[in-house]
Amino acid sequence: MPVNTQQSYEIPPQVSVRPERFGGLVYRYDNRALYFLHSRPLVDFLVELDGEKPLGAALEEFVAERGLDEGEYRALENALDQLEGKGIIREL
Amino acid sequence: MSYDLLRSGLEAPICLTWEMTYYCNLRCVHCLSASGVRRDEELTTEEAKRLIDEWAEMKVFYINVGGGEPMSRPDFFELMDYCLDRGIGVKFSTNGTLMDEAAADWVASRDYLDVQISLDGATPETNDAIRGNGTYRRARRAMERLAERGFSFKINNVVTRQNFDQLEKMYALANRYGAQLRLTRLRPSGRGQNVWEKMRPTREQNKKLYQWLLAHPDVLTGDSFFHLSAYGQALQGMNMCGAGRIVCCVDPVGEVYACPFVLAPEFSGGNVRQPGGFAGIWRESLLFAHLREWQVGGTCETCNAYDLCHGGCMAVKHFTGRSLDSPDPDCVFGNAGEPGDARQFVPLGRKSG
Repeated sequence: MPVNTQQSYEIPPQVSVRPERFGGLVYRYDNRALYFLHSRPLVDFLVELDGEKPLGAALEEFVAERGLDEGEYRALENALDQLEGKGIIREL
Repeated sequence: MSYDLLRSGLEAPICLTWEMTYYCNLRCVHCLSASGVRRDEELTTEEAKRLIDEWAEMKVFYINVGGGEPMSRPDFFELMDYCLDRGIGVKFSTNGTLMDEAAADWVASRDYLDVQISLDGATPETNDAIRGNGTYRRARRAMERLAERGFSFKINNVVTRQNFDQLEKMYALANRYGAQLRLTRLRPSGRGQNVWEKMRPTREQNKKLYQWLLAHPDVLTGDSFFHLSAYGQALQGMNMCGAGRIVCCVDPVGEVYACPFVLAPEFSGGNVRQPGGFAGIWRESLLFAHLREWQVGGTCETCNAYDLCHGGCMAVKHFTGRSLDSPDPDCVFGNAGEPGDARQFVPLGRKSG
């Protein structure tokens, strides 16, 4: 299911994100799962994700700040869909 | 996961082993760290806490705690809670002898804590021949205590020629407790060096083990048997040597080794007490930089199973007197050279400060 861009999202307390040169690592303490993320913009977005504003607005702001294009926006949105499915982000 | 990804180095290890003390009340014949006696210069509680602070800052997700017997440290519970409070998950390995009712209560009350109890045979005869008289009964008692509290632990079994036929029984035992079985490769490190030849599984057993692991994907291995992936199908895990790349080991006196199986000066990147501390060693040690660049050369390079086994375990080669560029002594194609037939690993200078 796609993420709901009208809603705010957060990283649950049982999830930790660590930036790496190739992108980043995500660890879920509750099921001991480790994930490799191969996009540094995605990792930077996750690190900044604080649930303050709806996901769509946060994405647009991030994309504008970074000067990313429409394709990169879609790539981020798709990646967030997958991360929600893995319990790495959740709707507030 | 490829070597290329790791060449530039991770910001922190994925899997960090911390041996808390060399003291142990047992004298297992295959002990990797040749443990028994506490060393005077072991890290103090305060030094240990500073180290944990550093790991938390580096976002180390979890650590594997061992020894010696970690539960023998008077500050064991204090330090484990210190890790958990700072968001570092803990898995500790114990022989179980000190798991009394109070300790079991403590374990069961903590989130993100894993416990691994060592048992090297499904019968007292087989296990006690390796771990000492009465150790089977005492490990089982620890398991009972955790199981009574509904805590799901892990049973760690080092696979040997002698206990190989008890794999099914070990698996059944773990299931009975709602526990998970973890199999580990015997390595010729520490006291293991003395017993390696007579206890290492035979070639036939290794082949059966590979098939057994494929048939039992719920059995954990900590990537122990990636050299057997060369039989054709990649076993679960990263299937590569992570020494200095994704793993490292801090010993009780603060030496930082490339992995828990190479506690030898030539594989130390430095000591956490030196300026720069742990992070400085992980990020700047010449030894670790070298290991991140290094790939097994020699005959392995032209082997068509290279992508599956990457030449096997560095520690096993080193402690059997082989060059790191030679095939693993348990190479599934029987390509392992004779010990001492090639140059040994050349220690690298440490970067000071």
